[in-house]
Amino acid sequence: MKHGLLIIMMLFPLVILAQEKNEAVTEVTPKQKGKITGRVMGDDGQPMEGAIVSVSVVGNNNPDAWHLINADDEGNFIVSDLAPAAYTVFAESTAFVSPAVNSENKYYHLGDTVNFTLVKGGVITGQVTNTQGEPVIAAPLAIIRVRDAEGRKVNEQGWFSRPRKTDDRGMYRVFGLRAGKYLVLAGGKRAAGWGPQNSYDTDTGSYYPAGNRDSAIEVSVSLGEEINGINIRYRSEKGYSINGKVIGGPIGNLLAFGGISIILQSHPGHSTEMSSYIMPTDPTRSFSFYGVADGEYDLVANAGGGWGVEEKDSFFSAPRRIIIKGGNVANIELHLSPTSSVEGKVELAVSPEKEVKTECKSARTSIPAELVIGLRRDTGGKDDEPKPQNEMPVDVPDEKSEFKLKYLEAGHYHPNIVLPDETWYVKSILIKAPTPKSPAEKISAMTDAGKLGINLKAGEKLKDVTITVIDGAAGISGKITGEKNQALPPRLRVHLLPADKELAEDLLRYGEVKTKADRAFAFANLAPGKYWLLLRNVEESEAEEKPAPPAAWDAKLRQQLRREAEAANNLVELKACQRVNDYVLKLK
Amino acid sequence: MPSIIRFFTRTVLLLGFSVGFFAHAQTPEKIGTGTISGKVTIEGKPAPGIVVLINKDTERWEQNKPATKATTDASGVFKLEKLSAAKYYLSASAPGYYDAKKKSEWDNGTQVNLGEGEQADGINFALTRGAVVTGRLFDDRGHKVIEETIVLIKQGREGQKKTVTCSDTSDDRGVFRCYGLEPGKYIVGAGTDSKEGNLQLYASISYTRTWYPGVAEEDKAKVIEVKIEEETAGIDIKLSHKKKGYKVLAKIIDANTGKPVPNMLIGIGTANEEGLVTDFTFGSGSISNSEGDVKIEGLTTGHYVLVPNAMQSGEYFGEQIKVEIKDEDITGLEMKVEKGAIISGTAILADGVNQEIQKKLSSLSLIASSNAPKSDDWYASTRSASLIGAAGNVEFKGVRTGRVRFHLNGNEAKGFVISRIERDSSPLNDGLEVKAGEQVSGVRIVLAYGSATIRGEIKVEGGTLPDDVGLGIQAKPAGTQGQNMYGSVDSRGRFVIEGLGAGSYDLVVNTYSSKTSSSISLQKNSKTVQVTQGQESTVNLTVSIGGKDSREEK
Repeated sequence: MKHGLLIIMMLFPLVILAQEKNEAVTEVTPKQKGKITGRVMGDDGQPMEGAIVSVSVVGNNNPDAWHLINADDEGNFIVSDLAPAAYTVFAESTAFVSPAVNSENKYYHLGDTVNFTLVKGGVITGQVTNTQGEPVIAAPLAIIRVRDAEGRKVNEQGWFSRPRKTDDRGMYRVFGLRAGKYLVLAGGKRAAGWGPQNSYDTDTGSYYPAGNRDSAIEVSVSLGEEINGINIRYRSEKGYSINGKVIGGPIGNLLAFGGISIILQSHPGHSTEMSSYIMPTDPTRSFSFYGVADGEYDLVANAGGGWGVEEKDSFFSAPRRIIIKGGNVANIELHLSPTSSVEGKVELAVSPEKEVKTECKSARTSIPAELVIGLRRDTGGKDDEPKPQNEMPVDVPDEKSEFKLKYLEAGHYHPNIVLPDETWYVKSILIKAPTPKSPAEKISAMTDAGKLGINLKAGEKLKDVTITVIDGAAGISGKITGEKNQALPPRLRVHLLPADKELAEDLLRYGEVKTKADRAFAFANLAPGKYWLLLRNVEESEAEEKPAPPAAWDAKLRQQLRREAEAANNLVELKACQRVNDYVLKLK
Repeated sequence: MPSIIRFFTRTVLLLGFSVGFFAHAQTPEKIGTGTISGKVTIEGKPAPGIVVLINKDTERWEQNKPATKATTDASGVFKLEKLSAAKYYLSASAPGYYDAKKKSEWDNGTQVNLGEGEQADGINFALTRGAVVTGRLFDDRGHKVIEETIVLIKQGREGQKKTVTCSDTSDDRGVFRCYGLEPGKYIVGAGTDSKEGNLQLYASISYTRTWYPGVAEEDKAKVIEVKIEEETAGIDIKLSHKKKGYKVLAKIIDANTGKPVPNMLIGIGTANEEGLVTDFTFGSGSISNSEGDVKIEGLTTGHYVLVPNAMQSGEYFGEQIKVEIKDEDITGLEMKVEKGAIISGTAILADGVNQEIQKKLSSLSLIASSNAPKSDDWYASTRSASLIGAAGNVEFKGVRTGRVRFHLNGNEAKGFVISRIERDSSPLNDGLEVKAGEQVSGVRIVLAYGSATIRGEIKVEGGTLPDDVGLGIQAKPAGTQGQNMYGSVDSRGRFVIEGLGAGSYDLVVNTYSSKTSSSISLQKNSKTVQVTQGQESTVNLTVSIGGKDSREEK
């Protein structure tokens, strides 16, 4: 995914839309070009002519890796002349959203067909009046999604296709909303920029219904639904200002994309409340926010990450906690430190057994350039931490099978590799120790990142990561059943654990999936061996869009999982290339 | 426009426009003793509870900075106190009402050049209750047209036309509502001009400009008359959708080496019938790749212009290319670009400046600009910026062949002037001639810091100026190489010229018209003034309007 888009995905509640994937039999070679096709339909069965489809190479910063096209009058789209890689594909149309919510990125390859069904988003309307009951005119509306369709907590700054305002009667209408619960507020200035001013800029914003946030009422809306009468009593409450300076960062970079973004996040929740931008050419490096309401915030700065910005010009600041309580906050200093990166290559190992090759047939043959190399940050269970500024770093290997994950914050990460077809599995992820600086220094052994993850220091440029991928992968899929007449919990998670004690610490051998309404589960790209399957409830508080970190990451929890799995004793042995289908996993 | 794409284009545009324009630090608020007051009326009656917004000139371009507010009392009077001497802009924030003085939503409002301790009274705002026009947009397939911009053109008495943008775009039902309109006659349309291309690269569908009640030609549109506080409903417009999805492919090539030029940002602009660029934007493929290729998708039929080095940040310059999309993609375009000149040298302060001022130097930036030969091709002109380095070093890259002029840039430069420019000790009175690829060194830009101010009032006798005519004032340094300093004259005839160095200046008053290119000649319109650093001089001028036929072509 290109960076511009990545940043956008970090800022906004973007959803990868409903997809179907039809894999044609294809032979892929590095030089070959191909196409991705699909169709965008409305839920009324009519083609969505003109819907925008984005097809972009995962992790690629180059603008030519991003294709934006309009669906034709039949709703069809075709992007041809694509090089082999992993792609993200999504479609949008004004006022329409996707009913499917999927927090995991789905990746597509040459020859894939991707079909989308878009549904008219929810609508909220109402009137904004002042304390005298007069209409409040031309006030900007903001909307915060606080609960998902199932009522679980989320915190997302709503982003309209275009910001809507109240009209001359104080009436407003916001549309294109995903299902869920919303806080609606009028007034305030939340986006960075130099627009025409209005008299609501200095106000903190008034929430439905009475103005203040504490008594705000959540408005529930479903797809295609229109909720009227969400009337807001506007209270012209002056907010406070925050100002400060950014220390360090890129020097003398006159390229516009090399500027510094400052983001004010709510605390907790970490949704973007306000943002500001410092021109790369601005020597003062100062920023200001106005109309900030009482409350707790985290302030972060970042630079770089845009097109054409070199790694040396990329910086992050540590988050700075700001508490606003009845006054302005001045002279905040945000110190920028260089970003880190992880560099390495993918090696394709050939499995020794000759017979495996013939048995392990796949619908397509893939090349390493179609892998997705990603990292997921492990906050050690601390949910309260500000969002990492690059939440899901990803890259695809180049023709030489080399990859580089840039723009990373210091922290602990786990590799997250997505393979292009079912025949491969990740054998190992090893980091070669740096060459000793003096003969006295011992050559330390390889670090096993598959087991331990990757510890990145601020500004560290980690090199020589080798990801070994091998064919002969096994897979298992099946269904969950209960006892007769037993009602199954709405959401269950299936865990996969290596049964072999020696592999107990190898995180690459663990897996977990959340089941959907059909109770089906599937694990693919597994190393041959013995596994336990374990069924657990999904925590009620866990939002669909924000899955909990894998349980196996936590050493204590891992031990517990192993104990439970051993007791449940759903043991399967998977041979190379073996596919176990229709496995029945019973809830006890 | 969908979120992702809108964010993308908006961000790029925001950044694009901001090149060569510098945000600046907030300075601690000085508490002054000046006052500005006035009255807000609605159709002649005092209007209580109306918010008046006031901005200091220097704060207008400060990011996120909201205006200061004042609210009118029961008798419609507002008063702002404790104001320091500065240039202010005031406007009545009364959406739904019409202010005849306000030209657009971006209009800064009434200017007031306030002196220290001055009381500026009578800054009045006369509002009219606006009219409302509402209707629906749908297309030739019966679909609702969502988020389309509505254009209203006010038909003046003598054939003058004024384009007004509707308060908001159409909603998810295709419904639009334009309010706060000046009473009068209008034609109402939506969609984009069919001759000009369309820069909404990522809009779902593009529509051909159609006027109520459904005609393509502006002169056949039905004129509707709207009255004070009246709502004119049922202005439904059926739009025909335009084929979208054409693309322009171009290769950027170094004219000298024949090699592709990567990482160059190419803007796509719309052009009017005269070929003049009216607006430009960027697409996802606007930055040339390693093969020098750019690809701009999502275009409709119409006239376009490719703008080279649209971000003004590269080493190259080139010429604009005009293209017309008829009914197919445009491929195989070549844009030849050349490496611009590199000009290096120093920027130093003239003697006699204290440490404090010297420190400010590192926050200054300079621009070396070189214009394209044809003034229509303004976007192909280069404006290379350079910060002033620690040793006073400056370097300008990518400067196009031609005559280069140097300017100070941005608000930080306030108080600084370029007093002279030399190359290898000989003065450059009329800029510097450079050629592509040339490396010019030894340019010395001598800056002076001026802290003198001339403030005063201009009285006009011998008649009144027409509504469209305003006054301007400049201070021309007497007999030196220094640059002319311009001041602004407010609605009361008060002017201020700041940042002057010590010396003698000729103050010259002139006129400008917002409507025509002609000006009105003035008599007794100059005066010589001597100023001292750090001092404010007060000068009052009385100019007289020449004879009846004093409006002459420039």
